[in-house]
Amino acid sequence: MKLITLNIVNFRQFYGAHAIEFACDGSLNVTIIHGANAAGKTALLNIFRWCLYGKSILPSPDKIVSNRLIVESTISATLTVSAALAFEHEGDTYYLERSRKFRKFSELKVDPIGASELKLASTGADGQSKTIDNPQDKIRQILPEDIHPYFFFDGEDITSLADAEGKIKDGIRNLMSITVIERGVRHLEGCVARFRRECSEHTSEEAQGLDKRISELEDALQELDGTESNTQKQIGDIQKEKQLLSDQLKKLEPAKDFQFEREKLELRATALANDLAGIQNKLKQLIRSHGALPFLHSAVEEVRGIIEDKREKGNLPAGIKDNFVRDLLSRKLCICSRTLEDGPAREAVERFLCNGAVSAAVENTIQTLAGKLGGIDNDINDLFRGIEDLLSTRHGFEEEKQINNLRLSEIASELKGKDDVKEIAKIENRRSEIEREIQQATLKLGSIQANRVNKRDEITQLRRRLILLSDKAQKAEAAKKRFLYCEEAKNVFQAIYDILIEEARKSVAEKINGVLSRVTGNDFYVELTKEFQLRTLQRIGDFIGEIDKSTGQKQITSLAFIGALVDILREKNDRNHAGSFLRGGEYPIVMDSPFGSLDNIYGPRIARLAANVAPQVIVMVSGKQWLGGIADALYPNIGKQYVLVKNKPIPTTEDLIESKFVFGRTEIQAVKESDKYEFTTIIEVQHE
Amino acid sequence: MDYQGEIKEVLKNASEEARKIVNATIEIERSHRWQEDHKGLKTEIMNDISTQVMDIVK
Repeated sequence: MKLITLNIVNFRQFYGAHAIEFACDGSLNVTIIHGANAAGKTALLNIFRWCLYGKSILPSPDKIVSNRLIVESTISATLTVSAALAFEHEGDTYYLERSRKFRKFSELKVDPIGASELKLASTGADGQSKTIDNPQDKIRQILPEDIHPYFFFDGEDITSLADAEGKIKDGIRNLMSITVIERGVRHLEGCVARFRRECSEHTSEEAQGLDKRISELEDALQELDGTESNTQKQIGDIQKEKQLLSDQLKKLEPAKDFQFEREKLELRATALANDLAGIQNKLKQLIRSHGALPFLHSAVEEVRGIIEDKREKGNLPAGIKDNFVRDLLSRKLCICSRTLEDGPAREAVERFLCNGAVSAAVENTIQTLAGKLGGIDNDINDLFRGIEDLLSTRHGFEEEKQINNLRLSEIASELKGKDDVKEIAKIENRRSEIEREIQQATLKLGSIQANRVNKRDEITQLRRRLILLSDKAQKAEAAKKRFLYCEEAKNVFQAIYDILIEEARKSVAEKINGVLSRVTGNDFYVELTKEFQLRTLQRIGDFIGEIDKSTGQKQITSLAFIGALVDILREKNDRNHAGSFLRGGEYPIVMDSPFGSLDNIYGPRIARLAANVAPQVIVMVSGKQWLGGIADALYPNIGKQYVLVKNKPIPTTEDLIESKFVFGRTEIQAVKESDKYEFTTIIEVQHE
Repeated sequence: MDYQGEIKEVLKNASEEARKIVNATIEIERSHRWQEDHKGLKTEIMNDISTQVMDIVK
């Protein structure tokens, strides 16, 4: 970045339009701006800041309008303040202009009208000009706001750089783009947390619980299968025993007939059970298919009522058949049997009768609807009849079953009571026991089967849920991988950050000492600690000891630090290449009153150093600071010189004496008497 | 070994996925380098990085 010109309009004490052209030719790279106290040197430094970033660190940052302009303007007038900076950067020329409008609302007060407006245009080496859409972003690219204080600074504040470890570390981080890595670490940490959260969101304990439950159910099903098989075998064995007992009874004369009868009854009981089950199924089927019909009864009645109502009101014709009307008309007869003669009267009757007749389509629709309503009635009746028939049949079967069971009980009692043939009673008792066992085993079998159906249903439901969850499980797996790789990337970033910051610390310390040795000889040198604290060391005999810095030493150290940064950035710029983490550049140094605390030895040295280290130097000095060797030191490099001339209504004698600037044979009075306003003008001094 | 050699060593020892994430993150951070750091920007950058991570790690 090489500054070319600065144009100011109505900013603070700079009433009207002013222009400064900066020296930027090779070795003539220094611009000196002289000014008495309160002439506008600090305001000038802030104009750069305001023009570049819309900010200033003046005591009243919003009060940027020239007081003279406010006073001279009428109430409600629109006042404009602007600053325009032309500069070169990486081969292109840029024209940056910031302006802000204000409205005067009282004698000395204005209100801003909206925010400031920023315009940026560039002209390339080919002469093509273009307007830049996002001027603020572009300016931040050229000279990031966080690093500009190291190049545009107030000499009175510069000493704090050497004291504050945070400022040095920030400066190094910002200037060397280490903040890019630092922000990367921070943002990757955020991404790690995101993916970790996503992972835990998708990894549900529910899926693990479901898996466990399904395994339990599958084990239980296997157990049920075993129990069922055993029970069936048990029933089979008992049935065999029962058959054996039945065969024995058939061989015993007193029991023989009973047993044969019983077998027939048992066969019939089995048939009746099947019949009853069949009836039950039919009932279920009927109710399932037609069970809703009875609920339509009231709806059917309602529709009938609506049709009847419409007929009564004449909305639906009462039903004069279309054919009947046409037949009457063809016979030239009225509906009242009178003859219809041709003429208007006949036509009127024809119209009346035709309109009153029901069209075939409407009649058909009504008839169809009535038929369907009747059909529903019939279906309801059929349903009730069907149910009644089935219930009646079931009742018959149940009665027969009861009689059958009664007879079977009688037979069993008869056989148990045959005391004369003890063997029969014994067989029958055993047979009764077996029947109870079969009954119990059958109940058990039913329970097992029902249990198995329930468990299978549960497994089906759980598996469906698990399929849904497995989708989440895949997402959890992906999130876990992302979280782990992100964490690894973050650690890589952190390692790169540590390497870069250490490299920066070493190279900055080396550069500072290089700069210091040129300024101070070997009077003292610095060490940049791992905590980025500048320790000033001095060799005393064979010992090296830390010394307390004087204000002058602090200022030198700070300027040396800035000089080191400028040097490093220039080097980085020279060997800048794609893929490099660090990016350099060339930047001017703009200093307000930088030589305040320097003596006649260090002052000239630091002045010479500044002129040699930075490609362009702009120095704002008061008369007192321009004494001694500083002027001589900078003299060979001065390309441009200006004086800020302060105009005030009543200058003091001191003002008039102390503000006399002498440039060779030229004398300029930097404080002048004005009629009634206080303002500053800028005068260029021809450099001799 | 100079600092660039050290950085190369760190990257060499990282997994391919982590290297890709590092490169993608640097590009994203560079593209936002000149913007002022604020909450909205942080979310935007994290969204961009997350999208890249999802592309790199399926």
